[in-house]
Amino acid sequence: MGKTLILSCFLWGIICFGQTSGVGINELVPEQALHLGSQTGTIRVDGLNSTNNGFNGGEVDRTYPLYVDANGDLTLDISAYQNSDGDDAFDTASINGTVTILPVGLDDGYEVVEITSIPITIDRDVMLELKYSLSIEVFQDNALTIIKDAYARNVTNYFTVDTPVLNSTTRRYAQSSKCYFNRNDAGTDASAAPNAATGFIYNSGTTYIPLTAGTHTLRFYGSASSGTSNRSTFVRFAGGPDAIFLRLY
Amino acid sequence: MKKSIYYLLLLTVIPSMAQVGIGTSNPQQELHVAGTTSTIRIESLNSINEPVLNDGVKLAPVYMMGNGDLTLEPPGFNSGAGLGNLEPLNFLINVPNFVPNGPYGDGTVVQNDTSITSATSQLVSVPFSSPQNALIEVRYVLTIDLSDQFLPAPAASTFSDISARTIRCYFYIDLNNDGLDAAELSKVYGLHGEAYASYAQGSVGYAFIHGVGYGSIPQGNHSLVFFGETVDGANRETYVGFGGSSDYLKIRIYN
Repeated sequence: MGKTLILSCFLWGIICFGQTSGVGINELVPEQALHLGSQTGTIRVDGLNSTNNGFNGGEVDRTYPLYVDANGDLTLDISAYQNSDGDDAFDTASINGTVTILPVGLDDGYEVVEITSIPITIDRDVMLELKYSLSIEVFQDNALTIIKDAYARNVTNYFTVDTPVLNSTTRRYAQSSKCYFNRNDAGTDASAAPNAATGFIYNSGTTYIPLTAGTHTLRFYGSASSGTSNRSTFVRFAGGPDAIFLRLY
Repeated sequence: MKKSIYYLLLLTVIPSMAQVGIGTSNPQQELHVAGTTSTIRIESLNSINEPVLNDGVKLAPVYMMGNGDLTLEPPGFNSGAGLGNLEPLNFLINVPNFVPNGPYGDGTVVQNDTSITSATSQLVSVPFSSPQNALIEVRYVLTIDLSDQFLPAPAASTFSDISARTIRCYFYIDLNNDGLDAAELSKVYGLHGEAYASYAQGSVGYAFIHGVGYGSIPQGNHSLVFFGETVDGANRETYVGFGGSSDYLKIRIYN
């Protein structure tokens, strides 16, 4: 108690003079700017306790990870680099929101578009956690005709990092695929008009990407395939609510 | 007395309001440790005094206790989980089967009869309490079972019309557990959607769907409200049972 009182007196005190060797508490030879020398003593910050800080939940045997912010201030408040947090992350019109397979041209049954890109600048090496959910609707053409044929469509999404070139060996991240198929009533009434649901289905991907310090571009791709023959396909991305979450470690 | 003189000599005390600067005459916080290489050493947390949690090889994360004390003890460390058995994670709830299975194992059924082409039903509302403001991670897995005849029923009937159905699941966060208002209904989480079509003799049984969502919530009592949705063609019958078998829900404070 005496010691605390004495220390408190000086902490509240008046004098200011520079020192270079640091401050020791129960430590005669401080080796850092502030050095606590006892075997059991620690630091208490009332501003971060459960009474005063909403991010400290208190409770028995519960502890909370401590961080420093840009100023070096201690904080318990952690936030994502980017989190749509329930809001719609993408909409079709503001991204390259569609991919079309026309029944002409190179007969590979495959098309891919770069839907959107996300720039990210970091000043240290980080591990990026990335998660997304992207809504998908599948049609035959841009008049939103319902597909009715014997062929499944595959819709795939993934990310790449930095390179604007996409080839077969470009590293992909957070790949996710869904299939769509409709051939309504073919077994009972082959001439029946197209009649089926077209969406929303979702591709949801999750990954971790190591990034070095500097500026990077995350490129979000969407592809459609219909088999080796071109089968008319029109995929609309982000027509419904979508989500994205990025966190740096 | 000797020690007090020592403090007098070493503390850089400032003529400002109850703020202490070390290496600075202009402290910006109650305790401000300045200097481009300055840090704080706490010997009670070093590898000699905390050899289990600070092994002297890799960096040890620091946590804060409810009273504001710094510690190396992760959450739950003293509750019997022990080192290595419990990561430094705070789970608010972990429900192994959060949608009741119902008498026939159909869970909560979204009924989409011939008179409509889309149907939406609330599956379940799960209350939870958060002791703190938090970014939360919600993960869920649900089973779905599909039928072209009325559910719930002792057995499902497989589709035979080869007409695509889509099935979607998501949740809202009801802050303060007082019913979903317009603002809460505008924020949709944990989106998942599937398409399915089959001729006769298609698959029967449960399929698993899953979703994850991240939300920032204030301290308090809230609930997650899950919805299921189906879309089909005109004059089609689609009955989807959500959560009829084993499912789970986890909410983690994502710190």
